[in-house]
Amino acid sequence: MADDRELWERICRGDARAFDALYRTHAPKLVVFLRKVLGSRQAAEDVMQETFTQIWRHPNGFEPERGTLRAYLFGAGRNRAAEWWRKQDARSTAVWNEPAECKAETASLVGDAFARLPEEQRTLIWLREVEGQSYAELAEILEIPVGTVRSRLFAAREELRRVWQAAPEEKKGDA
Amino acid sequence: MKCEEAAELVSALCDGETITREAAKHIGECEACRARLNAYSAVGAELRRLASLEERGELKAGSWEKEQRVRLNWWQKGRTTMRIPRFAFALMLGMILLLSGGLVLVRARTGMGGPVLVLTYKIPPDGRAARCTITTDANPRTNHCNYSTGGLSGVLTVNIRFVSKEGERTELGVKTRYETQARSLGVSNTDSLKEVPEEMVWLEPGSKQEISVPGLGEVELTGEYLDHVPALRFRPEEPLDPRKNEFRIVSPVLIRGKEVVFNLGGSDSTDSGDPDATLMIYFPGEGRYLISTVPFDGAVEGNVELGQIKFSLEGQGYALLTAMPTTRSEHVWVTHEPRYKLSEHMEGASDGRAMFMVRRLSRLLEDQIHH
Repeated sequence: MADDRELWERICRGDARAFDALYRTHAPKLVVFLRKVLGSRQAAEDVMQETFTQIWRHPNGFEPERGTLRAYLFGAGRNRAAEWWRKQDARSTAVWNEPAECKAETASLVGDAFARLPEEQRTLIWLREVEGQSYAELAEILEIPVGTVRSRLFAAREELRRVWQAAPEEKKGDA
Repeated sequence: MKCEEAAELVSALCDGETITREAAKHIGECEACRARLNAYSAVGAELRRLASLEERGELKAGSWEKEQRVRLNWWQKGRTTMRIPRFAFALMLGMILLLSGGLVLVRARTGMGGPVLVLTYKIPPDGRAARCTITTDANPRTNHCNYSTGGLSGVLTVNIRFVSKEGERTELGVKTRYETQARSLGVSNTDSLKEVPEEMVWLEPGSKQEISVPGLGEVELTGEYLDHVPALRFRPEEPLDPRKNEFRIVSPVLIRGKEVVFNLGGSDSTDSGDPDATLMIYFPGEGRYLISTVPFDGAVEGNVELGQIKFSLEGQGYALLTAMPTTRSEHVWVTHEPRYKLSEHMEGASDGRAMFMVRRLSRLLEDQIHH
């Protein structure tokens, strides 16, 4: 927390090196997360860049006493992603599909089931299982009470387990 | 302990949380729960494997220093390429400041202690909009609003209060609750939110905030400033003319002969979707009055003139006066049930409290009326 605070203070003072360090630490994971939320690599990269650019231009909103800088970044990224979806809906475009070759490399039973979860469940389970975010960080990112995090994580896991169990054993091996 | 009770704790266990002794014992001995634990772990590992496949080393370099420099250069560029005399530019700036200062003063005067914030909620799943209005000042009567809506698969209750203001931004304290079972009418909105933690949000015109309501989803909140408190705080854009099929009651006063039977000023109720919209007014000691836009058994006919509804019952003339025109219909049908007790028909309702609402006639004629 103390490191976050110091880093943030430097960023607020316009220290580009400090911001670059933040970017290099978190951008690779943020873009993978956004890809899971948005379903498109290009959109994820655009949204990630927008997220960082916005924070650099207008560094406000992060409160070290409320949570970590990482949680703040993922929360900001998620809000930008939601904004992106709203714009897509407003334009009534078709669902964004990845090119086939991109999907093939990560084709997986769990991955497919994961992609079908509602956005909030995808966000929760990805940030918990992959990013290892704590309940408090998840509560901060999703702006929900900590107690709700546990029950929603359970619901998401149950949904994935249902698919996992229904699959034949050999497919689980391929996953 | 049963497996269903332990299931959520299995998930918590995966997250490194400590669980109760009883649950730990059950999970240790129960094959189904251990299978669940293994499945959760396997799924988590699979997601991490997928993430490892997707993470890429290369990253577009950020040009942060350049970003900032560009902003500074605009000002420098502007100064060096200015095409009009400097003093003319200064004069123009002065005029702009003077005019905008005047606007601020006018706004402050009309706002009387601060502008008014019209809040719009978009409620999932269909995004239907609801509004309420609060003042951004210390007036405890007007700087908060309680809003409750049914018509979903449950009842959503929202309480929003003004906290502070910084320029165009307003800080709000927000409490929400969504209940899938209809709440009894005897419980007020405020009571149902007592235990709900308050969430603080900043709102400014043109921006959106999403409020997560457990069980319902994200309620989108936006706000716009207004220079006065509208006549109807929950419907600031309400026209004077009622809409088709609308039956609208605002601040009703009932007069019998020369006697004021009741005065329910300051409140309103509307039904805008049903052709048989009916007003029910309950008043302690008076029983209930039903005033409907369609005929029904035992009802007498009355006449509508803008904000007045006149009828005769039990040999006496009545006039129901309201603050706005009520309906496009020229006639209404009225009954009076003096022995009607609210508590016998609505769970949790009090016979000592006046209330009125506009609902479908068929619902109001049911033995049990639900909110």
